[in-house]
Amino acid sequence: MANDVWVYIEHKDGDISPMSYELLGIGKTLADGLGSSVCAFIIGEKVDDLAKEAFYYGVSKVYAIEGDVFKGFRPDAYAKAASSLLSKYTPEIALFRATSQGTDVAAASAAQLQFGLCTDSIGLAIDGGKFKMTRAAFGGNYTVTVVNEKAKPQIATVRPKSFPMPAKDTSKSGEVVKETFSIAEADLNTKILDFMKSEVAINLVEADIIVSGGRGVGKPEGFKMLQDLAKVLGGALGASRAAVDSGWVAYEHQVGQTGKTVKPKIYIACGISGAIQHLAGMRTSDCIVAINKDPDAPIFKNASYGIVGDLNQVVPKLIEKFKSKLGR
Amino acid sequence: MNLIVFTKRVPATQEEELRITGEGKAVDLSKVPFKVNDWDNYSVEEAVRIVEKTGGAVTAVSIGDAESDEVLRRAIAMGAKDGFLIETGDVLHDPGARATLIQNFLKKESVPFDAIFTGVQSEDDQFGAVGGILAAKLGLPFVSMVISIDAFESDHVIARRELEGGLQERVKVILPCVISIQTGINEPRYVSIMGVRKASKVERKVFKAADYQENMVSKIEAVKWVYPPKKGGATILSGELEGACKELLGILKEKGVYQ
Repeated sequence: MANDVWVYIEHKDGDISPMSYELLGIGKTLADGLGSSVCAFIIGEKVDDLAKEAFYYGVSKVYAIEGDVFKGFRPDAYAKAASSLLSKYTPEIALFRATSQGTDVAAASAAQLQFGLCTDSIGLAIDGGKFKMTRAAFGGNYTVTVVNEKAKPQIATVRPKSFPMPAKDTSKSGEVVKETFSIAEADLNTKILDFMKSEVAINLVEADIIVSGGRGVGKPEGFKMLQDLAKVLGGALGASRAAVDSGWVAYEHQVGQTGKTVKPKIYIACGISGAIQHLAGMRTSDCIVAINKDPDAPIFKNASYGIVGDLNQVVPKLIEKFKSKLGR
Repeated sequence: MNLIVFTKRVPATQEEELRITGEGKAVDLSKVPFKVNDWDNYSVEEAVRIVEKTGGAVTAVSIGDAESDEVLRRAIAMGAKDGFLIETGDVLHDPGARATLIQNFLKKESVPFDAIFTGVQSEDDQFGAVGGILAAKLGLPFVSMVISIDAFESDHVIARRELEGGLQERVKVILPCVISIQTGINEPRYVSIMGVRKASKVERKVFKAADYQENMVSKIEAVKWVYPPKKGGATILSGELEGACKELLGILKEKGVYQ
């Protein structure tokens, strides 16, 4: 249907990225607002098992292109295939995750088909029949609602963890519409050589609990202590730019406008003053706990709970208490 | 290697200085200090380092008003050979429109390049899409979120990309291509006031954006700007260390951190 809402499904090694389900949830809400349906579209080497998973999350139709050339994500191949589906069926809205893959495919599709593109949305709604996207700007401190109705589909990428996950129902099934699209290996200019886990195998973006340190940590050893707390809580270690620039902790841990944007359930900020560039990366965390010596630190304005005190005393105490509670 | 690197002058955001105007339609930036976009600073550094090894030249290009000359001087001080300003008084937010302007400019001026470097995103608009759209428009391969360039040969690049979940990917890409540079890829060199003064003696070319508007349409339209939410501030857990920690544990238990 021409006014359907399409969701691009990301997958790797045969599994759908869980955050794609989140898009199916909000896609359904938008489709209800338009009186249409949510559909998924998948590009991959083999798609049948992936489609089956998508059905469990409320999609009744999956559009797919498969082929050997789609083994492993390559932006040129995937974007051309995605574009061919979008131009053939011209849905009203197409949603992608605001990840490197989602953004690559969305941007290339938008370019090839002359669509408008709104990236990194944190709010999506149908309002008076119009599709409205809300996104952050200026370091995430301001938000702006935009419309993108000059061309269809209206393409948006969506920041992970912006919407609730839909329920899974394994009794559901649906229809897979397979389209053919061929592209010769020789026509592709990108080759994937290998993958590696980053030195500190962290998953800040998907962590439920983050323990993060800033300038107030004062030394590299302080981060070992924060890492211990993160470990006890089953969380990840974060850091402010000041701490990374001081060389106390690797760049991969950096949270903020430069660095990762995170939205954990709990963010424990230790010795972080709360510069807006840091807040930009974590202010939407469900619960922010600040530990800082300075009662006037801006972080306290943005936190839910605060302890005014020396982190070198507070953190070991917390580690001790959690260890005894959790038996770790 | 001839490398084109885009650099943008962006507001150094201090939230109290930004005023929303026109009933939410726009943001007044007239009282805000400006700086080079952080991502572009890394991007210029990376391009200069490559050319220092391979030979060739870096051309820095900026889209903006006359004040954007400042980021071109900075790029030249870092080692770029030329600075091109595509001058426009209009603020061009839409990433598709920016990419179209660039595409038209490169074609009309026949600027030669082996690779185009962009920052992953700009600090103000945060679309992170110009590089990807530009690459597709030019029909060139695109390598996004690059955190290391391991080799830059005459016909290809080997680069490491940052994916989600702590994963990295190493790719080989045929030149010419478009590369988007992530912060942290290098340590940008220090730029002294003297350096910028010296750079200002290098002639920068000014082009008028009005000459490159073919098919340039802004599709994204801002309808409502909103101030950041004012938070009430933290509930301070006061008292002795022992008591405050105990209270925090209770709160985190309630939040489901442990049973």
